[in-house]
Amino acid sequence: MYMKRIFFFTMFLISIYISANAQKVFTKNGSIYFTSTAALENITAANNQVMSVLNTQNGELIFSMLIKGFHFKKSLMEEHFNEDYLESDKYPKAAFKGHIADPNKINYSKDGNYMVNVNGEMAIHGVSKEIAVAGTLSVRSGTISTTAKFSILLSDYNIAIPDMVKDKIAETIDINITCVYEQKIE
Amino acid sequence: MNDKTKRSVWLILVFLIIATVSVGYYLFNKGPVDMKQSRGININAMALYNAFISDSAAAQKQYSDKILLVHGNIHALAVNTEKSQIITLQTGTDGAYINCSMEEDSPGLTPGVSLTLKGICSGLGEGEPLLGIKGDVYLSRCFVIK
Repeated sequence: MYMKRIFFFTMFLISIYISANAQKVFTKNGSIYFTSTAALENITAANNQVMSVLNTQNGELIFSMLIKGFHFKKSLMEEHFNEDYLESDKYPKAAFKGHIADPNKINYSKDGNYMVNVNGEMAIHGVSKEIAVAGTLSVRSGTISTTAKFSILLSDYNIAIPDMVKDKIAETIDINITCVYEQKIE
Repeated sequence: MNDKTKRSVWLILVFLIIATVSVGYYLFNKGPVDMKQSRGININAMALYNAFISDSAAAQKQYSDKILLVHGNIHALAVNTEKSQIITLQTGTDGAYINCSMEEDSPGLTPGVSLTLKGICSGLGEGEPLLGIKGDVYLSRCFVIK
């Protein structure tokens, strides 16, 4: 019985060690949702098909998603979003590639929440722009997750909103992203 | 134009206005397509993945945004950050799957089981070739058909 306990405890420590030392972790099912808060209407859409990779050695962080993976409560909104605003047939993907500004402060072998600053390039609607985002990186029993809330200006990405619907679509869109990195590359 | 004709013209105009507003209101507020009642394109998981790999543009046109009935074997079952079930289907290519976000959970499934899923195709997601991560073909609002 005592030997059995030692065996399982050792296996537990080994699994934590392996998790902590995995250089790259990724997910293909991260979640993102955005909210547009305008005078006449609030619009929300969600996409649970976000691919993200985190390199725990150098803090490199990648996000990528299909625009058609965003779903709305109203089908007409989804149609306008894809056809008129994001032109998803022409620009099917949105992506971010950047680095955690201060990767050394994260101890991946210890449970905790770390406030991180990420700098990188966001590409939406065929336009790439440098952005800086503050977020949280969490470590729980060897599993890493990231969350971030930030805003983007639609005009920065050449997304034009016709005057007719200016009271229904905000110029600034709030974005929430959450990824749990359940897969590892040793 | 006599009074009777004028009245008829007014009635027709009012009817047309009410009908137009009603149709507009219905279309504006119409929810997503009813997946359970909709017909879909039949295809197996391997053929769907290979279609995107061999000619992404053509597959995008043929399958993206369409309702598909995909037949295949379960690779793995998982739960996403929103606590919704994810089922991945084998494609014959290691590390690449048909990645299905379920509209409702389907309990009792296990890896290796053969089934048919109905869902809306979003397209082929990005991988990270330098790290050997392959992109999945994504389906959302999925149901198990059989």
